[in-house]
Amino acid sequence: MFQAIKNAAISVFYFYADGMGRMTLGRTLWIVALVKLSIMFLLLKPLLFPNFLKSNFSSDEERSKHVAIELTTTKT
Amino acid sequence: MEAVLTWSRLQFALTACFHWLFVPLTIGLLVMIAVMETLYVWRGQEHWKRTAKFWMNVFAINFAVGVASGLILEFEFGTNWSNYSWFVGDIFGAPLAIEGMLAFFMESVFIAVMFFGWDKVSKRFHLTATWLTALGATISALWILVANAWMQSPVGMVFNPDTVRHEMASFWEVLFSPVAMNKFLHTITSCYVLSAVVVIGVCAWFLLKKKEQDMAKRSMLIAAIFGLLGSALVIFTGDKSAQLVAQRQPMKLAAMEGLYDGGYGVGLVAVGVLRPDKKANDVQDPFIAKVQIPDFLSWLCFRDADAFVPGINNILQGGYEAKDKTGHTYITLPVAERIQRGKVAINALAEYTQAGAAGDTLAQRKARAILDNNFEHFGYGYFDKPEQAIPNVALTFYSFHIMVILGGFFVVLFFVVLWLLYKKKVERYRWLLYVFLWSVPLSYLASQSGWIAAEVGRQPWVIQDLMPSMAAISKLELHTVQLTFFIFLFMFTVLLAIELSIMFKQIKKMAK
Repeated sequence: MFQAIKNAAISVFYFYADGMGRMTLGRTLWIVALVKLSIMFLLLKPLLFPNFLKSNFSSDEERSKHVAIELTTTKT
Repeated sequence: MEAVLTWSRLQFALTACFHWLFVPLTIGLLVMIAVMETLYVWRGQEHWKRTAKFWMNVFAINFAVGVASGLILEFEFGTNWSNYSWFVGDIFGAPLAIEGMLAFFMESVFIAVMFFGWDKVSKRFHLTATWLTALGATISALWILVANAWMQSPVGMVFNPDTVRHEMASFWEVLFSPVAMNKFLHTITSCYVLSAVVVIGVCAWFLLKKKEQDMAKRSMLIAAIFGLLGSALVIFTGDKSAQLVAQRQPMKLAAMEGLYDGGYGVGLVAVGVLRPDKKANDVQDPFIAKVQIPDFLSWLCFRDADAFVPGINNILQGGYEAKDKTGHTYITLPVAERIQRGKVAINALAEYTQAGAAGDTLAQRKARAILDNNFEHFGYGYFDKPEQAIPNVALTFYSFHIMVILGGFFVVLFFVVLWLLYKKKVERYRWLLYVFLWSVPLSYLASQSGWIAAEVGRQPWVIQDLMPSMAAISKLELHTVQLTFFIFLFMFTVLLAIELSIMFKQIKKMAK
């Protein structure tokens, strides 16, 4: 059983490794996608897009209270 | 705060429009590739394999550049629209979570087999992977469209004043709401039409260059049939959409048609030029010029040529008969009255929260009853005057009409392509090939216009009747929103330039 799983895992690994190795256009596309995702998740998300409620309040109760005040007082 | 709202809306619109440049081609092209590969497996003809492989390269470029751009919208929900994100609660979270898991599963497994597996797995296994990728992309779109449909017509939820969040009462009611199902089908089939036009346009370029002519004609045939079937479904679902919008978002319908004063037996404006300084309740004709189909709007919305269709002024004044979601007839309230009831609901929520903090159960129960009785008007409580319930009429009207007119043009285009292919004359009419080629940007214009009509037309609501955009916005500094807007503008422009440059290079390489 273990041997079968191991063999399957090795086959899958070589399937991806071989596929990636043979890429031509794919290489450029991977670079574009990875650069884009890095900018999004390593730069934009932490620096410019903090989750407002998660970063300013520590519990759901506090978040509820804040939104209740926003909706019943600040915004009216 | 007004400026933060405007910039946040601009930023969201920019991100959504950019995201939507990639999604429709991904969804539609995958189905066409799967059809081409099916023909290869079924008939054993190598040229279908080659054709499918070429379009897979186009798909790959589009997919790689567009991948995860939708996630930026989720960043914006958490940062710019935190009140909204909290208020909608599970309704929005569950469909998006399912979408994320499905997209990840699909992208990591089936796409890999599709690209790497040509000579490594059996033909049938490969074909199954291609169809599953196409199906996965479609199902992935389902969840985000369900979430969007819920915002346009909220069903299957209960508002919990203790947490100030909506909680899902019935997942199936959310999933199978008529608005959700229709929106899903209309959007997906519109993706088919866009993809068909793109394929025909690229093939027209090959024919103009006298390269790969057999491949181009084969692809054109598939695309024209696919586009025609897609168009038929778009018309069918668009018709259903008109009925649903008339019932659930009458203000949006009025804006789409530039209808200020409704009536019985109202005509449909086929084309028109709006008077820019027209205001609600003034006596000016809303149109400088128009071509109208008599009684057609009444028939389209209510299947009765004499039915009453309310205009913007009628909706503001209320007092006409309408049907609710369950089909019951009721008399509509003036918007001014709804504003009053909305304010009562908001006050009741404030009293409920205060009574809860003070441990006063009786006061809390009283406030809850008032809130429940007036909750359907909750969002109107944020308005100072009824006119705030009117969306941008000109933008809604023109974007809706651009979408419809171009949709009609594409039907003609698909028929022309099929006729020319049948007569074996397609390469002879070079001017028509140029028309096909230049139809590609028009297909994107039509697709974007459809979303603009749907999203601008539903303003000022982020959740119909319950939350206007002004209440949904977070407490943010203006310069932060402006900065991120321009960062996105720069990033999206660069990404689009990269996509187009790789795409053109790849197509030219094929032509050589």
